[in-house]
This record gives sequence, C-alpha cells and structure tokens, in this order.
Amino acid sequence: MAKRGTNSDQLHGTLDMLVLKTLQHGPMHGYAIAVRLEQLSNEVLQVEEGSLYPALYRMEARGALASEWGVTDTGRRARFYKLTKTGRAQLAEETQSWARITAAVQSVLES
Amino acid sequence: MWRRLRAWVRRDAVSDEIRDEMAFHLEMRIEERMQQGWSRPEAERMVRRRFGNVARLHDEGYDVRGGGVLETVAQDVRHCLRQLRRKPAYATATVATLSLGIGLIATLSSVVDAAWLRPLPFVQPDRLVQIEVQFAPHAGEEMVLSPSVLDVLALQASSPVIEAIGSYHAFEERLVFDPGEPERVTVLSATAGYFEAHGAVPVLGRTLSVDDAREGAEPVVVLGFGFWAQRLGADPAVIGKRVLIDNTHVTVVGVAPREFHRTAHAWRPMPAYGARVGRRGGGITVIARVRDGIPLDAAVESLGAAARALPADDSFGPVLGINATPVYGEIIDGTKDALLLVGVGIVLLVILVGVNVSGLVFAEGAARRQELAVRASLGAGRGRLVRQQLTDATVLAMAASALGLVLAALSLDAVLAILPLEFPPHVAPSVDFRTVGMTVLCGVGVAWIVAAGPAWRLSGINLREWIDGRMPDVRRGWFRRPGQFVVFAQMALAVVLLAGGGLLLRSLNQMLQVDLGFEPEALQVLEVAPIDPAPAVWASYYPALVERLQTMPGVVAVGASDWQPMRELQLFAAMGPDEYAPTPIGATPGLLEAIGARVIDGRLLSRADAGAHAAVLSASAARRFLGTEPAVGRTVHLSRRPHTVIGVVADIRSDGPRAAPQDAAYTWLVPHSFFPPSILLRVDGAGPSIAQLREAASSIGPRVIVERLRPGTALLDDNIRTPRQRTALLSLLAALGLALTLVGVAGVSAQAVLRRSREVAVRVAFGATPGQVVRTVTADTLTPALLGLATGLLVAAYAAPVLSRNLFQVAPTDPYTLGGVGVVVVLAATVVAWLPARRAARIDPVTALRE
Repeated sequence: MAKRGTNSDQLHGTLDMLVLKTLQHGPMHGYAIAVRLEQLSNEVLQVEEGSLYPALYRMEARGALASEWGVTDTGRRARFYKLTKTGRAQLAEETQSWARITAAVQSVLES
Repeated sequence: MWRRLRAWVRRDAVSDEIRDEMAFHLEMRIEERMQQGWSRPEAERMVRRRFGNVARLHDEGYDVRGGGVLETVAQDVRHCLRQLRRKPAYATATVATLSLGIGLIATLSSVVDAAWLRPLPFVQPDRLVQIEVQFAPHAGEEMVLSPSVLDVLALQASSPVIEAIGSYHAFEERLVFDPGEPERVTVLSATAGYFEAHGAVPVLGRTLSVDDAREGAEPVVVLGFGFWAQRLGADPAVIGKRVLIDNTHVTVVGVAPREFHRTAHAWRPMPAYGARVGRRGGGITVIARVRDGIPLDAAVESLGAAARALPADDSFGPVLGINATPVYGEIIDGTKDALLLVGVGIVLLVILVGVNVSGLVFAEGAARRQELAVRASLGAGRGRLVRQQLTDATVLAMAASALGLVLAALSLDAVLAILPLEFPPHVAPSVDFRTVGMTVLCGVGVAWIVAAGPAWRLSGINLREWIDGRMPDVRRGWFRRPGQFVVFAQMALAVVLLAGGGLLLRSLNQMLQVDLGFEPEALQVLEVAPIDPAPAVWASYYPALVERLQTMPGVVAVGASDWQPMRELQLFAAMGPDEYAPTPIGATPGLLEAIGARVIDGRLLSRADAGAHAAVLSASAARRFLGTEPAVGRTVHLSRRPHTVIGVVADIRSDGPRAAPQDAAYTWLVPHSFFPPSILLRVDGAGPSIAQLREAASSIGPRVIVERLRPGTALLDDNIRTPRQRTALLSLLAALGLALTLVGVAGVSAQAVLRRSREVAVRVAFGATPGQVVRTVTADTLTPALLGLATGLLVAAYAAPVLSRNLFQVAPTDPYTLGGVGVVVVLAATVVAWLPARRAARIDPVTALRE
C-alpha cells in the first residue's frame, strides 16, 4: 500500500466516524451506507467508493465492524456490515473527540 | 491471526466475495443513474469513472481480508522452489556447502547438549561429591588416597551431612555370564549406598545392601537395565533367579534404572574385607550425596572433622582431612578445554562456509535484478523484497539442515572417536530431538545472516533507475578485494591440508607394503576359552581342539598360542626379552605353519616334541644369542630352563610394519587361564564358518565360550589404526577445505563476471573473441587462487617436518606428493573459475552496455 501522511489520517478518522454513525441504527450494505451519507449531509458529502471500501475493510480488521452476506429488499445478494461492541465504543469516543476539536476550532475563529 | 489462516485457505472464495461486493455496489450506482435518465452504456461509463480503479480496490480489500503474510510467504516458497529447479548447479552447490556447515553445527550441538545441557540421569547431581582421604605430604608430594571400605562405613555412621554414600571400583571386570550362550559382560563392584547416592531407584527389586558384602553372605547381583531388557527379555520375574557369573551362582536381586550407566551390565557387592581393593589407596571411587539444604563447604568441613576421627594408617600416619570434589564439576571441567578447542574449530569452519555461501547467494541474487526491479515497481516495498530473499534463504537452509542432520547422525560416532573429547559413562552424545531443534534454529539463523547482507543490498532496486540505466552499483558489492583475499587464504590452507593428507596417505601405503615375515591374509584367529578354570582342563583342551580343527575342510594348518601377531596389549609383554634370552612364545605344532612363517633351517614343532623342551628360534634371535654358526641342535635358556633348538624361521615383524622384528623363541605351549590362548588357522578359500568352529569347539568336552573369530587382516588394521585414523582425519579436513575453497572460487568468479560485464561488452563490441573474454575474466579469479596455491605449497614444504614423526619411509618434502597436489588443485580451480566465466562470453553487448 502507498504511504499516507497524517493529513489523510485525519480524513480517515472522520470517514470512519461517519460510517460508524450511519450503522448505529442497524446493519447496512456498502451502497446503502454511501447513499445514506449523501442524504443525511444534504449532498454535501459525496463519498468516494475508493475510500469507503478500504475504510470498511479496515474497521472490520480492527474489530469495529462485523460483516456477513445477506439479501437486500430487492432480492439481491450483498454484504452487510454492522457495529460490534468495540465499534460502538469507538463511535462514542470519536464523537466526543470530534466535538472537542470543533469547539476548539470555533472558539479560535470567533476570537 | 486465525482469520488470516482461514482466509488463506479459502483465498479464492475471499477474492470472489470482494469482487461480488464491488459488483453489487457498481450495479446499484448504475441503476441510480439509469433512473436519472441515462442510458445503460453511459451510466456504466460514468459510474466506472467515478468508482476509480476497481482492481486496486480489490487488491486493497484483499490485503485487509486475505491471507496476509502467511500467503505471501507461501507464494515466495513456491517461487523459490521453481527457481531452484531451473538452476540445479547453484542449488546443489549452495545446499551442499550449507549442509556441511549445518552438519558441523549439529555435531557441536549434540556434544554441547550431552556435556552441558542434558540433565545427568541422577537426582540433583550438584549434591554429589567424590571423597578422598588426605594424609601428611610424603617426600614433598601430596598424599591423597582413596578411602578404604571401612572408612566409608565409619563416615556414613558418624557424619550427619551425608544422605547416602557408596563406592565402586572403576576397574571394569569382564566376566562370563551363563545361562544360555556364555558371553563376557562388564561387571562393576559396588557397595551399599552406591545407587542411593546417585539417587537411582531400581526398576525391579532392590539395590545392594550392607549385608551382601559380609563374609559368607549369599552372592547377589544387580543387573543393568539394557542388559536385562536385551539378554533376559525384560523378564519381570527375574528377581530371585540364579545365574552363573564366572562359575559362581549368584542371585539377581534388582534391576537398575534405564540409562543409568553406559557400559556396565551388572553390579556385584564389593567385598568389605581382605581384598586389596578395599584398603586405602586401593583405587575405589567414593561418591557421597550431601543432604538438601546444607551448603557444600559446610558439608566438606563437617566431613573433614569426621575423617580426622578415623583410625590412623600404618604407612601414612594420621588422617589429616578430606578431599571432596563435586562430581558434577568434574564432568564439566575435564572436557571444558577440549570442548572449547573443538567449538572454536567448528565455528571457524562455519564462518568459512557462511562466507562462501554468502558469495554464491549474492552472485545469484544479482542475476535476478530484473525480476526484483519489476516486483518493486508493482508495489513491493523494501521489506517485502527482503522478506522474499530471506524466504529463499530459509528454503535453502531447511534443505541443507535435513541433509546436514543426516550427515551428522551417520558420522557422529566416527567423528567423536577422532575428536579429543572423553565423555563419562553416564553421558552419550546423540542426535536427538533437542539436537535437531538447536541445529535447525542455528541453520536458519546462519542462512539469514548469510543472506541478509545481499538481500538488503539488492532490495534497494528501482525499476525506473533500472530502465534509465542508473542502477545502484550492486556490482561493486563488498566482495571484490575481501572476496579475493578469502579465496587466497582458503586456497593456501586447503593446499597445506592436502599436502599433509597426501603425505600421510603415501606413508600409510608404504606401511601396507612392508614384508611382515608372515602372511596375515589367509590367517584367522579364533578366541575360545573353557569356562572351567582348572589347569588340567585347559592343558588338555587346546591340543585336542587343534587336532579336531585340523580335520576340518578348508583348514590348511592350525595351531594354538598365547600370542597373536600384532595384538594390542600383549599380556606377557612384561616378560619381554632380556639380555640373555629371546621372548618365549608358547605354541602347539601347526602354529608356525598357520601363520606362514618361513623355515630357514631345521624343522618346526611336532607332536614328538611334547616333553622335550624344544624351541624354534627366529633368525635374529639365533644370530644374537648363538652367534653365526648354525643354531640347530644347540642349547638356549628359556624361562630358566635349557631348551634344544630344533629349527630357525625368518624374522617376523610381530609388532606390525612400523616396528623392528622381535627376537622370538617358540616353545611348547602350556595353556593357562592367565594368558588365554587363541587358535590360529590358515584357511584355503573361505574356510569353516563361525558356526562350524563353534560346534567343533564345543565338541571336545568342557563348556567353552567362543568369543570371536577375526581375520588376520583385522589384526593388521588394529595395528595401524592410529596412523589410519590420523590419515583419515587429515584427509577429511583436506577434502572439506578443498570443497569449500572451490565453492568460494566459483562465487568470486560469478561476481567477477557481473562486475566486468560492461567492460566485456565494450570489448566484444570492438571485436574481442569469446576466448579472450573468458581468459580475462578467469584471470580475475585465478590470480588469487594460484597465489594461494603457491603460498600453500611453500608453507607445506617448510612446515612438513612437523609430520615427520608420523611418516613412514616418506620424506616430508616428497616431490611426488607436493607436485600431485599442485596439479590437482590447479586443474580443479581452473575448471571452477572457468565455468561461470563462460557466461561472460555470451553477454549481449547492447544489453550489457545499457545496464
């Protein structure tokens, strides 16, 4: 794999957090996650598939997600991802961390 | 970890799953577009463009989900095996050389394991001490003697620090064992407490007790485990059975534990009184076990105090104290120096092997630059490339380890016989699981060290640079000057060893051609003895047996004697020649005919000479004691009795080819069990079999034990065993040295080819012939090799006189040997240097110049 700088580490982290949040309400397959993120952000966030799948696989490798084959409501075969306990804990942690960072950035900008 | 393993096993399924997942997502996006009004082809195009490189996504997904390191290692191994199959010369050379090194490591491991790592088969061996008694120094010399049996009993009673104390006699008697086929067994004498002191618990029955040693006690024996298992079939009801040892009935009372002692078959109680052995200075070894929890120095002090209470000695005065040495410590110290020497020698050889193999691996890897560059461009990081090359090295190391271990296992006994190491009887080096484990670890370690350098160097490869022609200068390597120096040094050493080996071989050959004065080829020696030691039985048995054997087909002549030509440890050598009489040798009629002695004058012994004190002299004996006139009919004094000379035979080199002939006189044999006679036969063709001889020997009357039948050539072999061993060792070292050197030369030559490829290409482009090219490249390698050869020959010529003590009728600077060695080495080195150089001639100038 190509090396990445710390800049994209931050982007990694953000995408991970958003994916985890999306899955909070139940298992979804990759396409559904992408569509959902676009909907919830009012089309502002367009998820690149090239980033989404590596993120999903990474989180699964770390144990934050679990996956299994299932059938969509249109009768197609797809792989569904769901949160594990580790994933839930990670979500809570990252949400808090994100809130702290944005609050800090905001207060600097307002000064 | 497990996930990776599972994924590796189902790797195709994993790959398909990822593909399906992507396909599904893709399809959904396409449908989305189509719902927005795009046609299918357009929708596909747009989605695919947005999706990006599906193959890369697949690969990234597989990296996370798939087999991981395990899978890549498996791939590397398969690839490596394919490559090796395509390059058999490289594979053979590398594996063979590595296996030499690993075989040596295996031998060293087994020795180290036996000497240090494997626990002794006793309980807490560091609690064992050997005890000797100290007296006042006598004439400036320390007086330390072995205790008497009474001393041992007294110490046991009076000293609370000892848990158990026992002794044994180190002189191993070999006595005849009955029932069934009689054979000789090794029996040690031991006292009560011997087994307990070692912490040995008998497998059956009991150990020796104090009562067994009392006068008039019933004779008992404790059997060794191996002997009980093999000879008595591990009979569980053996306790209480009676057996015959040396014509005495003894009762079996116990069986010692497994692997307790390497050579002893049985233990008998040591008589407490009367025997010389039981007195002070009699040579028994006393072992005591100190109680748990008492430090050894305190124990020694306490024992010293107890010893001073022992009765004084008539000859040596009062007891001053105790000399207590840890038994365990002795095993270590005794072998430490020798072990160090052997270890250092082996490590040096292994380093040499490593250097040579490293050269080969480097040359090989450099030839694969292209492949490595392509891999690097496809995304393999430096770590991945290094891992691949280490995997290659590991595959080679595994193959070499297998081969090396087999070599070591086969040759362990022979090598140990040659090395200057002595192991106590409780310890026997062998190639077992622990050794195998240690060896494989070391072997892989050596392979990694050897391959790491070249691997690191070669993995710094970049496809871009390669295409542009700006290669990192792998050709320079670090092998040029040092590589040539190594070739020079190895060549010199190998030549010196070869010269030495050659000299010894020639000398051995000369030895075998000496006229011994008799013929060992057709001679066979039968050792047989009646079990009953009565002199009358012995006196009548041997002549009767000789007569019986004379009638057997295939026997040309047969006789009996208390002497065997070239036998080690002639028992009556103590009665050697004095100024007044030659060495008397007992013989029956037929003996001298059997050994093929040549008659010069008179006749040989016959049955008519039975009581007549007749003698046959050897030529030099006749000359020395009777002057130049004919000896037949004159009188000579043997064993303080006058004998009449009836014949003279040619001198016999009875001590082998290296010693001068002895003056000998052959007289009528009086068999005695102190000097058991043997039967010497001259056979025609194969002669009677051992079974037939055994039957004949048993048919005379008394029960006999037939020990062995040996051909005369075996006696000669024994006699020249030491020079033969020495020659074998040196020749082996020389062969090893030459093999390693040739590998080194091959490696350096291959590197030279690589290094000079550009120069060669330019020359070829300018019209140089292949012959010229090859010559240039070969010279690069042969120069240090020939320099080494010359140096080696000079050193050999200068230092050879060191060997002159071991040489027989061969001059230390024998020109044939030195010349022969020179020729052989030059030929071998030239061939080995020339083969890789041939590749240089086939270099395509254009490709080479571009590199």
